Amino acid sequence: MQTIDLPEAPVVLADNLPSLLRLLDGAEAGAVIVDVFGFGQPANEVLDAIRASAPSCPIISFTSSVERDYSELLVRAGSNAVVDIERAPEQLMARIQEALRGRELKAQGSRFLRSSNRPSIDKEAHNMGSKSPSSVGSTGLTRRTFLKASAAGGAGLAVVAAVPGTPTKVLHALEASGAIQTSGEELFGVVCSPNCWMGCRLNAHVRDGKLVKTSMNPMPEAQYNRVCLRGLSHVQRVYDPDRFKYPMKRVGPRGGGEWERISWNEAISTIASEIARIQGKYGKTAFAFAPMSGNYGVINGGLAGAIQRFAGIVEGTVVGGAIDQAMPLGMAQVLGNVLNGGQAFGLGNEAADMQYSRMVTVWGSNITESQVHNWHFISDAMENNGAKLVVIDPTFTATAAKADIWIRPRAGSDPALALSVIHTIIEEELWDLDFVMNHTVGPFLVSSETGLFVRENPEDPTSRYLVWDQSTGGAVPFDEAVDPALLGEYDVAGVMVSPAMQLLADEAAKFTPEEGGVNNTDVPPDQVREYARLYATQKPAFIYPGFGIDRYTNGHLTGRGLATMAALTGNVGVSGASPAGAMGGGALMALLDPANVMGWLFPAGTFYGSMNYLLLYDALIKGEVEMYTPADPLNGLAGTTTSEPQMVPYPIKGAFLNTSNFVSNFPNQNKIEQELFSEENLEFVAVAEIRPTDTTAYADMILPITHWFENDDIVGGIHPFLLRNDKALEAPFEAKPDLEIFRLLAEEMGFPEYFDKTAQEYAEGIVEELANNLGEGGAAAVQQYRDTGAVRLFPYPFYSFADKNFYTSSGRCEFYAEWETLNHPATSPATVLTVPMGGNPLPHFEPPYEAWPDNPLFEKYPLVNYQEHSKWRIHSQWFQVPWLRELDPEPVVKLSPEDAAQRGIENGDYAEVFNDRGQATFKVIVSEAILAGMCNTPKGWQRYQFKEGGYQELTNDHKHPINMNCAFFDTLVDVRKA
Amino acid sequence: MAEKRLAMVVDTVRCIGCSTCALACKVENNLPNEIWWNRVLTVGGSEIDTPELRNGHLEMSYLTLACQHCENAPCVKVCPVGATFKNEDGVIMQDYDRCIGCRYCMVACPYTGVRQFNWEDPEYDVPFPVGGAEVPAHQKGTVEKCTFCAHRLEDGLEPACIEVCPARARTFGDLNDPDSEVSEKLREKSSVQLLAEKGTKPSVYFLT
Repeated sequence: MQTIDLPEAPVVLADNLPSLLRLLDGAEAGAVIVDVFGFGQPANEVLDAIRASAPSCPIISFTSSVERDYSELLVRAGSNAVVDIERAPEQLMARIQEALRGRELKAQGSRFLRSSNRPSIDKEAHNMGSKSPSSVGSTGLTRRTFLKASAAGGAGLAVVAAVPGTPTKVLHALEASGAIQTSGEELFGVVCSPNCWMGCRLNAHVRDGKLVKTSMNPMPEAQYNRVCLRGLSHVQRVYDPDRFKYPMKRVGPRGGGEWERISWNEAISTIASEIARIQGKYGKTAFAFAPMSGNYGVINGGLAGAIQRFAGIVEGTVVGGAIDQAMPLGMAQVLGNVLNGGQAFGLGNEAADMQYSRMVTVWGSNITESQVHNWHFISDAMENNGAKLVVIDPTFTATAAKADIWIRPRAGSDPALALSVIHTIIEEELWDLDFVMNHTVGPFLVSSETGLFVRENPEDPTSRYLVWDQSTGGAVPFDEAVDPALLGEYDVAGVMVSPAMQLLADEAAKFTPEEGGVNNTDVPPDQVREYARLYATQKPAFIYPGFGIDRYTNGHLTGRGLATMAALTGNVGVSGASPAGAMGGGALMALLDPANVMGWLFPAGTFYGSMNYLLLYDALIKGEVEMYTPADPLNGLAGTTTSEPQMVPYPIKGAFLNTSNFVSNFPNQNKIEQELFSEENLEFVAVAEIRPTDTTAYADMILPITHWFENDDIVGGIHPFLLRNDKALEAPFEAKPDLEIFRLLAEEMGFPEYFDKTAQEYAEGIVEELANNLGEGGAAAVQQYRDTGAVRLFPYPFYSFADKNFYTSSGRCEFYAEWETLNHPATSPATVLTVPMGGNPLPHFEPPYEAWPDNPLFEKYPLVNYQEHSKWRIHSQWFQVPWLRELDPEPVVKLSPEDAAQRGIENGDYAEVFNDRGQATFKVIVSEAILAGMCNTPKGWQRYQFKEGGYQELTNDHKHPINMNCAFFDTLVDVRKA
Repeated sequence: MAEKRLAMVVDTVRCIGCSTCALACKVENNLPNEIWWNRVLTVGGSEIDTPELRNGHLEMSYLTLACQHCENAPCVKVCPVGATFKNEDGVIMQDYDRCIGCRYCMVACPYTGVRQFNWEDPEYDVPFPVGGAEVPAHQKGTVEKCTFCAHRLEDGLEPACIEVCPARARTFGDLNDPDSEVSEKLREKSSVQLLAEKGTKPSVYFLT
């Protein structure tokens, strides 16, 4: 008997079948590997014998031939896997690992099945005596007895003499004979349109005018086919018994919950007169139009929608941004503002490109729950390309469970972790030298005096950048250099200068994995180095960043770090490598830039003012905000009118909200309810909504709107297609699409000509405009849209920067920049502003504002609170769907075992999560997935669903001067048993 | 025409436990409140979506569990009235009209929970039947379970839970056809079956 040691398990060799069987009788084997044809007996007898000795042990059979028939036979005879002996070197280890994993799976499954609470069986035993089998059915009449009776009486009803198991066959026969009618089913092409951005094309199945189910409707490319549990549950959203039926106005105090039904006429004339009154008294911009992300239908939705079109005509203010804006801002800093200063969401590759990657990093995202349809591309890469998956997240999410390497950084430490990786890449020279030299500012010399790049002609900021040529020992223009230096310090005309790479190296040296890195991130140095080497060398490597890292005040610095990692390693602009995620080429990306749809958005040639949602807090409470004014409202790259933000009077006294659950989804809920929405601060607020939410509770007027399947629209997501959504159902009661509401308002206010077309007429106009602006033929696009209901805006495959032209002033990746991108006053139309670099131009680290151990508040509130985006909801939609509530019934807080034990809290208890801003009561789940020192309160529940309070009371509305972005996870709390 | 041996193959490496398959089944079959034919079990900690800490590592995966449509089905053997039977394609069917609610099948079946019983009148949150048009109505006092969407198989369609899987982890087909996707997957990858030692010979395979 020989024993070999494998990394997975020891292997014992048996010489012959009897001794193998004896071995198996005696001890439990993880797997059996057998040369099944080598025993001079039929293979199936060998397998039977092994099975008899070890019934549940996985068997790996060797064949000496690649003939498929043998594999087939062996699987049917009981092999769990078959390996061709000639390919054993490649295949055997994988099969052993799979077999061991399978054994684990079966054991766990068995354990579950055996120990599982069998309530129905227990109830069974209890009721056996009391219930008589014949009393089934409320009337005691079974369908069979009824049928017998009616057949005898020739009732001529829908008689189905059921042959067991094939009722449908009989039904078909009866239908064909004309004996019965079943109602037909009609299919409509619709699109699920929430803020997961997955833009799933669905079929709405309609019988007798009612939606009975949804199903997946094929996309133009099968690899983008998609639907999820939420998209399948629309029936319960359409027929939600709490849907608003009629316009309503508040009676009694705001937030008091008393309503009176009014007519649409009264609603429209009230809103119109309030707009006129408030604009007359406080100025045009004092009336705000505040959409969010609840509907990505372009016409009825909140991104370049009818609401913005209307706002521009009346020259009000559109409030925007302040969520998801930090991380992309940092990436834009390095890679360049795209789409006229638009957000950096579009700076990556299209999602399907991930299948070609060999190394995927998912950083700060739980895609298997929040962006489900991007998972299979990664799974394909792992299966087909041998791609490695690294997941970086303090929590062991379902995505992390799939990873080859899971890195667990301290909450909010991500910029430091990125710098540790950058340090490793530089120190170990893992960079892509060619890319760094030619496509980054790495070799460009920076003056230690001015902090600016050194130019050929110091008076002319457009003259060529200088580098240090090591072959001549002097500074020369970059395109004349033979051997540019990346490191060092040099004297140029009496001023000390360094290549930008040296400055990056100096900054990153503060975060070596072994010291500054681990001290700030808690990540073991070996793991950082292993990851950095993998990322730099297993190419192409794809970075998939999520908004988990965006929800700390330092999110823009993580963005800079990630983009820099990609720039150093040349993982940019090629298939399988993205510096900035998988939203490239998305139809949505095109819509983020107003310049692409000027005709639709600004038909009157007048514009709205822009305000960032965090600045709205000050506008409502104080009537003045500190903000920059863009030099050109439509071009953020044109800079600002002042070098510092100025305090500007900016009252907001009235608001119209659609696609928004502002009171639930913005931070510091008590402040929102008590101060922002006080009747004194906000004189009038109308909310267009489908059912009651935390926001409608604080409205003066509620307008009932249609579900997505009850109106026409055109929808874009982060896949490449614009999709037509066809009205499938009639609007119930007096619900109206948002477009219709603005049409009525426009008629009332005297400009009906801007809203006199149908939704699809506007949609086709948008398709044409977009296609023309993006370089593809507009007329052809419209025809394609008409014929197929889908348009692909960018050709396949799309990856940003394929031509290596970065949208920076140097045209290169600027991990050192002379200017800084900012996010205020808003994110559209002047999406990002540029100001001369005031702070640290490199990727660097600053801790989160609140959630960091150095903060004295930590003594009082030692847990970092975050709100996961789980599979049961998309933000605050689907919170009431009964099917989903059966699986996920109530608000929970997930705690680590250590934190729970320390507080005397057990799994299943109720606990209060609290800080100085508020509190809420949750059911406790104790989970090893949660890092000690954090607590997870999944997002989307409404206040009425809590025993007490609401989770959004806990978050803060701090304004970071650069990213002006809500940092929901930058929250300190404590937890106590309720 | 050759007999079919219908089978389902679920890839646990790709499966992310998202419950899309469970919802597809719930809607397609117009399942009453609290009744689930397909359940997603977390293989890890004791609560849904929680991992287990083993030997210093966290682990979590998912098992989607419905009727295993066993070739050697114990439920068929014990049903006193023939309400539970195997059809010609190997699908274990349930005739609600014959079912007398004795629940012997639930006792015999080792796959706890795949069979569900309507103790009371079925209740629904939606006031009309949803899902497939030809789904038999649910009845108080009867057992029900996954039918491999027999009503869809009639129309040449696959079970509702197959095509919806966002992870592309589910395959369905005829094991008697060597060119079918299920046959191909079982040849190419390792697989296990649940409670194989009981000799039920399930028609569901889990790839590892």
